[in-house]
Amino acid sequence: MRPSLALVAVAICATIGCDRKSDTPQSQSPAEIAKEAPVTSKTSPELVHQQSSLVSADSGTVSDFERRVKDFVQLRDTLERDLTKLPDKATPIQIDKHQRELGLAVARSRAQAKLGDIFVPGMQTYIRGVVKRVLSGPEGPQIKASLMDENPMQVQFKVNDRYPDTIPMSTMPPDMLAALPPLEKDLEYRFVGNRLVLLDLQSHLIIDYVTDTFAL
Amino acid sequence: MSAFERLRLLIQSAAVAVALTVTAWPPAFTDAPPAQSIQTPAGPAAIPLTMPNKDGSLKFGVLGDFGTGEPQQYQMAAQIARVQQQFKFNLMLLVGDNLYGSERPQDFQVKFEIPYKPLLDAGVKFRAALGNHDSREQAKYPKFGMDDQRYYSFTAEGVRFIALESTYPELKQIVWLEKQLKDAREDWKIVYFHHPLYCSAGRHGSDVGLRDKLEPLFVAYNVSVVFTGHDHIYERIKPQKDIVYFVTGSGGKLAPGDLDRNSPITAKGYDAEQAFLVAEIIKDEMTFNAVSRSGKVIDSGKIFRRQGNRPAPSSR
Repeated sequence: MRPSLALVAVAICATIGCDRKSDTPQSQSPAEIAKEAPVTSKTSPELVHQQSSLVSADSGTVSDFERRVKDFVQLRDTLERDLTKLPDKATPIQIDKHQRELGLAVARSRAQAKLGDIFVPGMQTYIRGVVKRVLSGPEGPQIKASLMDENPMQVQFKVNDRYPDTIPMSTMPPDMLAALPPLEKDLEYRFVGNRLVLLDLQSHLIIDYVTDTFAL
Repeated sequence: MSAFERLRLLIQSAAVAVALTVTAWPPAFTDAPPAQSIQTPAGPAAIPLTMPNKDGSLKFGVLGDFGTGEPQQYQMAAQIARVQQQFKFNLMLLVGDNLYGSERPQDFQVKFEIPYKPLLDAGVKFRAALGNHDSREQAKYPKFGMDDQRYYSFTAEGVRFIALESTYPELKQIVWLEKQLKDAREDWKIVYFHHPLYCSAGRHGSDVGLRDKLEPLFVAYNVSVVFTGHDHIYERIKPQKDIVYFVTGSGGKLAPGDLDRNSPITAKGYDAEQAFLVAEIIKDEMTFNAVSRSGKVIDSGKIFRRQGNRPAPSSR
Protein backbone atom coordinates (compact mmCIF):
# COMPACT_ATOMS: atom_id res chain seq x y z
CA MET A 1 0.00 0.00 0.00
CA ARG A 2 1.31 3.49 -0.82
CA PRO A 3 1.66 5.76 2.18
CA SER A 4 -1.11 8.30 2.41
CA LEU A 5 -0.14 11.93 2.02
CA ALA A 6 -1.60 12.63 5.42
CA LEU A 7 0.86 10.21 6.96
CA VAL A 8 3.65 11.84 5.04
CA ALA A 9 2.65 15.24 6.32
CA VAL A 10 2.49 13.93 9.87
CA ALA A 11 5.93 12.40 9.48
CA ILE A 12 7.50 15.62 8.29
CA CYS A 13 5.64 17.66 10.88
CA ALA A 14 7.06 15.48 13.59
CA THR A 15 10.48 16.35 12.22
CA ILE A 16 10.13 20.04 11.58
CA GLY A 17 8.16 20.95 14.68
CA CYS A 18 4.50 20.76 15.59
CA ASP A 19 3.92 24.49 15.68
CA ARG A 20 3.79 24.42 11.88
CA LYS A 21 1.37 21.52 11.77
CA SER A 22 -1.85 23.49 11.67
CA ASP A 23 -0.62 25.55 8.72
CA THR A 24 0.39 22.56 6.65
CA PRO A 25 -2.10 21.43 4.02
CA GLN A 26 -2.40 17.64 4.03
CA SER A 27 -1.89 17.44 0.29
CA GLN A 28 1.71 18.63 0.53
CA SER A 29 4.60 16.27 0.22
CA PRO A 30 7.59 16.33 2.60
CA ALA A 31 9.79 18.00 0.03
CA GLU A 32 7.14 20.62 -0.69
CA ILE A 33 6.86 21.30 3.01
CA ALA A 34 10.63 21.54 3.27
CA LYS A 35 10.61 23.98 0.36
CA GLU A 36 8.20 26.21 2.20
CA ALA A 37 10.35 26.26 5.32
CA PRO A 38 13.85 26.33 3.97
CA VAL A 39 15.55 28.14 6.83
CA THR A 40 16.10 25.31 9.26
CA SER A 41 14.22 22.13 9.91
CA LYS A 42 13.36 23.16 13.44
CA THR A 43 13.20 26.91 13.13
CA SER A 44 10.89 28.87 15.35
CA PRO A 45 8.26 31.04 13.64
CA GLU A 46 10.03 34.14 15.00
CA LEU A 47 13.24 33.14 13.27
CA VAL A 48 11.41 32.54 9.99
CA HIS A 49 9.89 36.00 10.33
CA GLN A 50 13.29 37.54 11.05
CA GLN A 51 14.73 35.96 7.95
CA SER A 52 11.82 37.04 5.77
CA SER A 53 12.36 40.63 6.89
CA LEU A 54 16.07 40.41 6.24
CA VAL A 55 15.59 38.88 2.81
CA SER A 56 13.13 41.62 2.00
CA ALA A 57 15.48 44.38 3.21
CA ASP A 58 18.44 42.87 1.39
CA SER A 59 16.67 41.72 -1.75
CA GLY A 60 18.57 44.27 -3.85
CA THR A 61 21.88 42.95 -2.55
CA VAL A 62 20.91 39.36 -3.28
CA SER A 63 19.61 40.23 -6.77
CA ASP A 64 22.88 41.98 -7.51
CA PHE A 65 24.76 38.88 -6.35
CA GLU A 66 22.62 36.64 -8.55
CA ARG A 67 23.29 38.88 -11.53
CA ARG A 68 27.06 38.69 -10.92
CA VAL A 69 26.86 34.91 -10.64
CA LYS A 70 24.86 34.72 -13.86
CA ASP A 71 27.47 36.86 -15.63
CA PHE A 72 30.16 34.46 -14.50
CA VAL A 73 28.24 31.42 -15.72
CA GLN A 74 27.73 33.06 -19.09
CA LEU A 75 31.44 33.77 -19.38
CA ARG A 76 32.37 30.22 -18.40
CA ASP A 77 29.87 28.64 -20.77
CA THR A 78 31.14 30.81 -23.63
CA LEU A 79 34.72 29.80 -22.91
CA GLU A 80 33.76 26.15 -22.67
CA ARG A 81 32.12 26.20 -26.09
CA ASP A 82 35.55 27.02 -27.53
CA LEU A 83 37.06 23.85 -26.07
CA THR A 84 36.91 20.39 -27.59
CA LYS A 85 33.75 18.71 -26.34
CA LEU A 86 34.28 15.80 -23.98
CA PRO A 87 33.30 12.47 -25.51
CA ASP A 88 30.52 10.51 -23.80
CA LYS A 89 32.95 7.85 -22.66
CA ALA A 90 35.71 10.21 -21.59
CA THR A 91 38.75 8.79 -19.89
CA PRO A 92 40.13 10.31 -16.69
CA ILE A 93 42.92 11.84 -18.77
CA GLN A 94 40.42 13.55 -21.08
CA ILE A 95 38.27 14.75 -18.18
CA ASP A 96 41.23 16.15 -16.30
CA LYS A 97 42.64 17.85 -19.40
CA HIS A 98 39.30 19.42 -20.26
CA GLN A 99 38.78 20.74 -16.77
CA ARG A 100 42.26 22.22 -16.50
CA GLU A 101 41.96 23.84 -19.93
CA LEU A 102 38.68 25.42 -18.91
CA GLY A 103 40.20 26.50 -15.61
CA LEU A 104 43.05 28.23 -17.42
CA ALA A 105 40.70 29.91 -19.87
CA VAL A 106 38.45 31.17 -17.09
CA ALA A 107 41.35 32.39 -14.97
CA ARG A 108 42.91 34.14 -17.96
CA SER A 109 39.65 35.72 -18.97
CA ARG A 110 39.02 37.16 -15.50
CA ALA A 111 42.63 37.77 -14.60
CA GLN A 112 41.72 41.01 -12.83
CA ALA A 113 39.15 39.34 -10.60
CA LYS A 114 39.69 39.94 -6.91
CA LEU A 115 38.17 39.10 -3.57
CA GLY A 116 34.74 40.71 -3.27
CA ASP A 117 33.94 41.02 -6.96
CA ILE A 118 30.99 38.66 -6.66
CA PHE A 119 30.47 38.74 -2.92
CA VAL A 120 30.46 42.55 -2.79
CA PRO A 121 30.71 44.14 0.69
CA GLY A 122 26.93 44.28 1.14
CA MET A 123 26.62 40.64 0.17
CA GLN A 124 29.46 39.67 2.50
CA THR A 125 27.56 41.28 5.37
CA TYR A 126 24.41 39.47 4.30
CA ILE A 127 26.20 36.10 4.12
CA ARG A 128 27.79 36.57 7.54
CA GLY A 129 24.36 37.41 8.90
CA VAL A 130 22.82 34.27 7.41
CA VAL A 131 25.60 32.05 8.74
CA LYS A 132 25.40 33.64 12.16
CA ARG A 133 21.65 33.19 12.31
CA VAL A 134 21.77 29.54 11.29
CA LEU A 135 24.57 28.75 13.72
CA SER A 136 22.89 30.53 16.59
CA GLY A 137 19.58 28.73 16.04
CA PRO A 138 18.44 25.76 18.07
CA GLU A 139 20.33 23.35 15.80
CA GLY A 140 23.39 25.60 15.63
CA PRO A 141 25.89 23.42 17.48
CA GLN A 142 24.91 20.38 15.44
CA ILE A 143 25.13 22.31 12.16
CA LYS A 144 28.53 23.71 13.09
CA ALA A 145 29.78 20.25 14.00
CA SER A 146 28.61 19.01 10.63
CA LEU A 147 30.33 21.73 8.62
CA MET A 148 33.51 21.36 10.64
CA ASP A 149 33.59 17.63 9.88
CA GLU A 150 36.76 17.18 7.80
CA ASN A 151 36.70 20.90 7.05
CA PRO A 152 40.10 21.70 5.50
CA MET A 153 41.08 24.50 7.85
CA GLN A 154 44.49 25.98 7.09
CA VAL A 155 44.55 26.08 3.32
CA GLN A 156 45.86 29.13 1.49
CA PHE A 157 44.18 30.19 -1.74
CA LYS A 158 43.05 33.24 -3.66
CA VAL A 159 40.38 34.06 -6.21
CA ASN A 160 40.85 32.16 -9.50
CA ASP A 161 42.89 29.41 -7.81
CA ARG A 162 42.03 25.80 -8.49
CA TYR A 163 40.29 24.26 -5.46
CA PRO A 164 43.14 22.25 -3.94
CA ASP A 165 43.12 18.71 -5.30
CA THR A 166 44.26 17.08 -2.13
CA ILE A 167 41.72 18.39 0.35
CA PRO A 168 38.24 17.00 0.94
CA MET A 169 35.08 18.94 0.34
CA SER A 170 33.48 20.12 3.55
CA THR A 171 30.01 18.80 4.18
CA MET A 172 27.29 21.39 3.64
CA PRO A 173 24.56 20.93 6.25
CA PRO A 174 21.13 20.99 4.60
CA ASP A 175 19.91 23.79 6.86
CA MET A 176 22.86 26.00 5.93
CA LEU A 177 22.33 25.36 2.22
CA ALA A 178 18.67 26.15 2.52
CA ALA A 179 19.42 29.50 4.14
CA LEU A 180 21.91 30.66 1.50
CA PRO A 181 20.76 32.13 -1.82
CA PRO A 182 20.28 29.41 -4.45
CA LEU A 183 23.04 29.12 -7.04
CA GLU A 184 23.21 28.59 -10.75
CA LYS A 185 23.91 25.09 -12.04
CA ASP A 186 27.47 23.84 -11.49
CA LEU A 187 28.28 26.37 -8.79
CA GLU A 188 28.50 25.40 -5.15
CA TYR A 189 29.11 26.89 -1.73
CA ARG A 190 31.79 25.22 0.37
CA PHE A 191 33.38 26.11 3.68
CA VAL A 192 37.16 26.08 3.95
CA GLY A 193 37.85 26.90 7.56
CA ASN A 194 35.44 29.76 8.20
CA ARG A 195 35.66 31.08 4.65
CA LEU A 196 32.61 30.49 2.46
CA VAL A 197 33.89 29.66 -0.99
CA LEU A 198 32.00 29.97 -4.27
CA LEU A 199 33.25 27.04 -6.32
CA ASP A 200 32.74 26.50 -10.04
CA LEU A 201 32.48 22.78 -10.63
CA GLN A 202 33.17 22.91 -14.35
CA SER A 203 36.53 24.63 -14.02
CA HIS A 204 37.15 23.60 -10.40
CA LEU A 205 38.09 27.21 -9.66
CA ILE A 206 37.44 29.32 -6.58
CA ILE A 207 35.45 32.17 -8.04
CA ASP A 208 35.16 34.27 -4.89
CA TYR A 209 34.83 33.81 -1.14
CA VAL A 210 33.73 35.48 2.07
CA THR A 211 36.14 35.55 5.00
CA ASP A 212 35.34 35.17 8.70
CA THR A 213 31.80 33.92 8.32
CA PHE A 214 31.84 32.48 11.84
CA ALA A 215 34.10 32.24 14.86
CA LEU A 216 36.34 29.21 14.80
CA MET B 1 29.57 -28.45 -2.21
CA SER B 2 31.29 -31.28 -4.04
CA ALA B 3 34.97 -32.08 -3.61
CA PHE B 4 35.50 -31.06 -7.23
CA GLU B 5 33.83 -27.68 -6.62
CA ARG B 6 35.97 -27.10 -3.52
CA LEU B 7 39.12 -27.91 -5.48
CA ARG B 8 38.09 -25.58 -8.31
CA LEU B 9 37.49 -22.69 -5.88
CA LEU B 10 40.78 -23.35 -4.16
CA ILE B 11 42.67 -23.18 -7.44
CA GLN B 12 40.82 -20.04 -8.54
CA SER B 13 41.46 -18.32 -5.20
CA ALA B 14 45.14 -19.16 -5.32
CA ALA B 15 45.36 -17.89 -8.89
CA VAL B 16 43.83 -14.53 -7.97
CA ALA B 17 46.04 -14.21 -4.91
CA VAL B 18 49.16 -14.90 -6.91
CA ALA B 19 48.12 -12.60 -9.74
CA LEU B 20 47.45 -9.72 -7.37
CA THR B 21 50.62 -10.26 -5.41
CA VAL B 22 52.77 -10.37 -8.47
CA THR B 23 51.20 -7.87 -10.83
CA ALA B 24 48.89 -5.51 -9.04
CA TRP B 25 51.05 -3.67 -6.55
CA PRO B 26 53.04 -1.55 -6.77
CA PRO B 27 51.53 -0.15 -9.95
CA ALA B 28 53.71 0.63 -12.90
CA PHE B 29 53.79 4.42 -12.72
CA THR B 30 56.85 6.50 -12.26
CA ASP B 31 55.14 8.58 -9.60
CA ALA B 32 53.49 5.62 -7.92
CA PRO B 33 53.83 5.05 -4.18
CA PRO B 34 57.14 3.53 -3.11
CA ALA B 35 57.48 -0.14 -3.86
CA GLN B 36 56.52 -2.34 -1.01
CA SER B 37 55.96 -6.04 -0.77
CA ILE B 38 52.42 -7.06 0.02
CA GLN B 39 50.92 -10.44 0.45
CA THR B 40 47.31 -11.29 -0.13
CA PRO B 41 46.02 -12.39 3.26
CA ALA B 42 46.02 -16.13 3.57
CA GLY B 43 42.42 -16.65 4.70
CA PRO B 44 40.50 -19.86 4.31
CA ALA B 45 40.57 -21.66 0.97
CA ALA B 46 36.96 -20.83 0.29
CA ILE B 47 35.34 -17.98 2.17
CA PRO B 48 32.55 -19.49 4.29
CA LEU B 49 29.76 -17.41 2.80
CA THR B 50 26.21 -18.16 3.84
CA MET B 51 24.45 -16.76 0.79
CA PRO B 52 21.66 -18.63 -1.02
CA ASN B 53 23.57 -18.07 -4.29
CA LYS B 54 20.52 -18.84 -6.43
CA ASP B 55 20.43 -18.52 -10.19
CA GLY B 56 18.53 -15.45 -11.36
CA SER B 57 18.64 -13.60 -8.03
CA LEU B 58 19.99 -10.07 -7.68
CA LYS B 59 23.49 -10.27 -6.24
CA PHE B 60 25.49 -7.18 -5.38
CA GLY B 61 28.31 -5.85 -3.26
CA VAL B 62 28.72 -2.66 -1.21
CA LEU B 63 32.05 -0.94 -0.67
CA GLY B 64 33.01 2.40 0.79
CA ASP B 65 35.95 4.65 1.64
CA PHE B 66 38.36 2.54 -0.32
CA GLY B 67 40.49 4.52 -2.80
CA THR B 68 43.72 4.88 -0.89
CA GLY B 69 46.05 3.06 -3.25
CA GLU B 70 47.65 1.46 -0.20
CA PRO B 71 48.39 -2.22 0.41
CA GLN B 72 45.37 -2.70 2.67
CA GLN B 73 43.05 -1.60 -0.14
CA TYR B 74 44.71 -4.09 -2.46
CA GLN B 75 44.42 -6.86 0.10
CA MET B 76 40.74 -6.12 0.61
CA ALA B 77 40.31 -6.01 -3.15
CA ALA B 78 41.86 -9.46 -3.42
CA GLN B 79 39.33 -10.83 -0.94
CA ILE B 80 36.50 -9.18 -2.85
CA ALA B 81 37.72 -10.92 -5.99
CA ARG B 82 37.74 -14.24 -4.12
CA VAL B 83 34.19 -13.64 -2.92
CA GLN B 84 33.12 -12.80 -6.45
CA GLN B 85 34.45 -16.14 -7.68
CA GLN B 86 32.24 -17.97 -5.21
CA PHE B 87 29.30 -15.62 -5.37
CA LYS B 88 28.91 -14.12 -8.83
CA PHE B 89 27.65 -10.67 -8.04
CA ASN B 90 27.70 -8.34 -11.02
CA LEU B 91 26.88 -5.02 -9.35
CA MET B 92 28.95 -3.08 -6.81
CA LEU B 93 27.55 -0.06 -4.99
CA LEU B 94 30.19 2.45 -3.94
CA VAL B 95 29.16 4.62 -1.02
CA GLY B 96 31.76 7.33 -1.56
CA ASP B 97 35.31 8.40 -0.84
CA ASN B 98 36.21 6.54 -3.99
CA LEU B 99 39.58 8.26 -4.32
CA TYR B 100 41.60 9.76 -1.50
CA GLY B 101 44.19 12.46 -2.06
CA SER B 102 45.07 13.45 -5.57
CA GLU B 103 42.75 12.56 -8.45
CA ARG B 104 45.15 12.67 -11.34
CA PRO B 105 44.34 10.36 -14.24
CA GLN B 106 46.82 7.80 -12.95
CA ASP B 107 45.11 7.83 -9.56
CA PHE B 108 42.02 6.36 -11.18
CA GLN B 109 44.20 3.44 -12.14
CA VAL B 110 46.22 3.03 -8.95
CA LYS B 111 43.27 3.49 -6.62
CA PHE B 112 40.55 1.82 -8.67
CA GLU B 113 41.26 0.10 -11.96
CA ILE B 114 44.23 -1.97 -10.86
CA PRO B 115 42.98 -3.25 -7.50
CA TYR B 116 39.54 -4.09 -8.88
CA LYS B 117 40.73 -5.39 -12.24
CA PRO B 118 39.49 -8.94 -11.54
CA LEU B 119 36.02 -7.52 -10.88
CA LEU B 120 36.07 -5.25 -13.93
CA ASP B 121 37.27 -8.18 -16.03
CA ALA B 122 34.45 -10.31 -14.64
CA GLY B 123 31.93 -7.73 -15.84
CA VAL B 124 31.00 -6.28 -12.45
CA LYS B 125 29.32 -2.90 -12.94
CA PHE B 126 30.23 -0.27 -10.38
CA ARG B 127 27.68 2.38 -9.41
CA ALA B 128 29.22 5.12 -7.33
CA ALA B 129 27.97 7.74 -4.93
CA LEU B 130 30.28 10.64 -4.13
CA GLY B 131 31.88 11.22 -0.74
CA ASN B 132 33.38 14.36 0.72
CA HIS B 133 36.84 13.40 -0.57
CA ASP B 134 35.60 12.92 -4.13
CA SER B 135 35.73 15.59 -6.79
CA ARG B 136 32.53 16.06 -8.76
CA GLU B 137 34.32 15.19 -11.98
CA GLN B 138 34.18 11.52 -10.93
CA ALA B 139 30.58 11.61 -12.13
CA LYS B 140 31.94 11.73 -15.69
CA TYR B 141 34.17 8.67 -15.23
CA PRO B 142 32.41 5.87 -17.09
CA LYS B 143 33.65 3.07 -14.83
CA PHE B 144 31.84 4.63 -11.86
CA GLY B 145 28.55 4.25 -13.74
CA MET B 146 27.15 7.65 -12.81
CA ASP B 147 26.35 8.93 -16.32
CA ASP B 148 27.56 12.39 -15.34
CA GLN B 149 24.94 12.64 -12.58
CA ARG B 150 25.88 13.40 -8.99
CA TYR B 151 22.68 11.73 -7.81
CA TYR B 152 20.73 9.21 -9.82
CA SER B 153 18.60 6.12 -9.68
CA PHE B 154 18.49 2.84 -11.53
CA THR B 155 16.69 -0.48 -11.45
CA ALA B 156 18.30 -3.90 -11.33
CA GLU B 157 16.26 -7.12 -11.25
CA GLY B 158 13.21 -5.27 -9.99
CA VAL B 159 15.05 -3.43 -7.24
CA ARG B 160 15.17 0.37 -7.24
CA PHE B 161 18.54 1.77 -6.21
CA ILE B 162 19.00 5.47 -5.50
CA ALA B 163 22.43 7.07 -5.12
CA LEU B 164 22.60 10.46 -3.40
CA GLU B 165 25.28 13.10 -2.98
CA SER B 166 25.08 13.63 0.76
CA THR B 167 27.94 16.13 0.98
CA TYR B 168 25.80 18.69 -0.80
CA PRO B 169 22.16 17.89 -0.07
CA GLU B 170 20.55 20.95 -1.59
CA LEU B 171 16.79 21.27 -1.75
CA LYS B 172 16.72 20.41 -5.45
CA GLN B 173 18.19 17.02 -4.65
CA ILE B 174 15.72 16.38 -1.84
CA VAL B 175 12.83 17.24 -4.14
CA TRP B 176 14.28 14.93 -6.80
CA LEU B 177 14.66 12.13 -4.22
CA GLU B 178 11.06 12.40 -3.18
CA LYS B 179 9.88 12.18 -6.78
CA GLN B 180 12.05 9.11 -7.37
CA LEU B 181 10.71 7.38 -4.29
CA LYS B 182 7.14 8.37 -5.00
CA ASP B 183 7.24 7.19 -8.61
CA ALA B 184 9.14 3.97 -7.97
CA ARG B 185 6.96 0.93 -8.57
CA GLU B 186 9.54 -1.61 -7.40
CA ASP B 187 8.92 -3.56 -4.18
CA TRP B 188 12.46 -3.02 -2.98
CA LYS B 189 13.87 0.47 -2.58
CA ILE B 190 17.49 0.77 -1.52
CA VAL B 191 19.20 4.12 -1.05
CA TYR B 192 22.95 4.67 -0.70
CA PHE B 193 25.16 7.66 -0.05
CA HIS B 194 28.18 8.69 1.97
CA HIS B 195 27.21 10.24 5.31
CA PRO B 196 25.54 7.88 7.79
CA LEU B 197 22.23 8.84 9.34
CA TYR B 198 23.00 6.42 12.15
CA CYS B 199 26.48 5.42 13.20
CA SER B 200 28.27 4.53 16.43
CA ALA B 201 31.78 5.50 15.40
CA GLY B 202 33.59 8.17 17.38
CA ARG B 203 35.15 10.12 14.54
CA HIS B 204 32.05 11.38 12.72
CA GLY B 205 29.03 9.46 14.01
CA SER B 206 25.42 10.03 13.00
CA ASP B 207 24.65 13.00 10.74
CA VAL B 208 21.54 14.18 12.52
CA GLY B 209 20.92 17.19 10.26
CA LEU B 210 20.89 14.99 7.20
CA ARG B 211 18.71 12.49 9.01
CA ASP B 212 16.12 15.19 9.65
CA LYS B 213 15.85 15.73 5.91
CA LEU B 214 16.05 12.19 4.56
CA GLU B 215 14.56 9.85 7.11
CA PRO B 216 10.96 11.12 6.79
CA LEU B 217 11.11 10.36 3.07
CA PHE B 218 12.61 6.91 3.62
CA VAL B 219 9.90 6.09 6.15
CA ALA B 220 7.05 7.50 4.10
CA TYR B 221 8.07 5.87 0.84
CA ASN B 222 8.95 2.45 2.06
CA VAL B 223 12.72 2.31 1.78
CA SER B 224 13.91 -0.98 3.25
CA VAL B 225 17.69 -0.67 3.38
CA VAL B 226 20.20 2.21 3.41
CA PHE B 227 23.94 1.85 2.80
CA THR B 228 26.42 4.54 3.86
CA GLY B 229 30.12 5.00 4.68
CA HIS B 230 32.22 7.97 5.90
CA ASP B 231 33.23 6.42 9.22
CA HIS B 232 35.93 3.85 8.62
CA ILE B 233 34.25 0.93 10.27
CA TYR B 234 31.60 -1.67 9.50
CA GLU B 235 28.32 -1.37 11.36
CA ARG B 236 24.83 -2.75 10.97
CA ILE B 237 22.35 -0.62 12.85
CA LYS B 238 19.35 -2.07 14.63
CA PRO B 239 16.27 -1.27 12.52
CA GLN B 240 15.34 2.38 12.91
CA LYS B 241 11.70 3.09 12.08
CA ASP B 242 11.74 -0.32 10.36
CA ILE B 243 14.67 0.58 8.09
CA VAL B 244 18.00 -1.24 8.27
CA TYR B 245 21.07 1.01 7.97
CA PHE B 246 24.58 -0.18 7.21
CA VAL B 247 27.85 1.72 7.50
CA THR B 248 30.36 0.17 5.12
CA GLY B 249 33.16 2.71 5.34
CA SER B 250 36.15 0.43 5.76
CA GLY B 251 36.83 -0.74 2.21
CA GLY B 252 40.36 0.70 2.30
CA LYS B 253 40.59 3.13 5.19
CA LEU B 254 40.19 1.77 8.69
CA ALA B 255 39.70 3.37 12.10
CA PRO B 256 40.57 0.56 14.50
CA GLY B 257 38.85 0.82 17.85
CA ASP B 258 36.64 3.72 16.76
CA LEU B 259 33.34 1.93 17.35
CA ASP B 260 31.50 2.66 20.57
CA ARG B 261 31.18 -0.80 22.08
CA ASN B 262 28.25 0.32 24.25
CA SER B 263 26.20 1.94 21.51
CA PRO B 264 22.54 0.98 21.90
CA ILE B 265 21.91 1.19 18.14
CA THR B 266 24.54 -1.30 17.00
CA ALA B 267 23.28 -4.67 15.81
CA LYS B 268 26.78 -5.69 14.72
CA GLY B 269 29.99 -3.72 14.48
CA TYR B 270 33.51 -4.47 13.32
CA ASP B 271 36.55 -2.22 13.30
CA ALA B 272 39.46 -4.62 13.50
CA GLU B 273 40.00 -4.93 9.74
CA GLN B 274 38.75 -3.56 6.44
CA ALA B 275 35.43 -5.03 5.30
CA PHE B 276 32.85 -4.99 2.53
CA LEU B 277 29.43 -6.48 2.10
CA VAL B 278 27.64 -8.74 -0.36
CA ALA B 279 23.90 -9.12 -0.60
CA GLU B 280 21.36 -11.19 -2.49
CA ILE B 281 17.70 -10.45 -2.97
CA ILE B 282 15.20 -13.21 -3.56
CA LYS B 283 11.57 -12.10 -3.49
CA ASP B 284 11.01 -10.37 -0.15
CA GLU B 285 14.28 -11.39 1.47
CA MET B 286 17.72 -9.86 1.33
CA THR B 287 20.53 -12.06 2.63
CA PHE B 288 23.83 -10.38 3.44
CA ASN B 289 27.36 -11.32 4.43
CA ALA B 290 30.06 -8.86 5.46
CA VAL B 291 33.57 -10.10 4.72
CA SER B 292 36.81 -8.83 6.24
CA ARG B 293 40.20 -8.23 4.66
CA SER B 294 41.42 -11.58 5.95
CA GLY B 295 38.41 -13.41 4.53
CA LYS B 296 36.29 -13.82 7.67
CA VAL B 297 32.53 -13.50 7.47
CA ILE B 298 32.05 -10.95 10.21
CA ASP B 299 28.31 -10.42 9.92
CA SER B 300 25.44 -12.17 8.22
CA GLY B 301 21.67 -12.20 8.26
CA LYS B 302 18.41 -11.68 6.43
CA ILE B 303 16.33 -8.57 6.01
CA PHE B 304 12.72 -8.67 4.92
CA ARG B 305 11.58 -5.81 2.78
CA ARG B 306 9.13 -3.31 4.17
CA GLN B 307 5.66 -3.78 2.84
CA GLY B 308 3.54 -0.67 2.91
CA ASN B 309 3.15 0.56 6.41
CA ARG B 310 3.57 -2.87 7.90
CA PRO B 311 6.74 -3.12 9.93
CA ALA B 312 8.72 -5.92 8.43
CA PRO B 313 12.48 -5.88 8.76
CA SER B 314 14.04 -8.31 11.12
CA SER B 315 17.64 -9.27 11.06
CA ARG B 316 19.92 -11.42 13.07
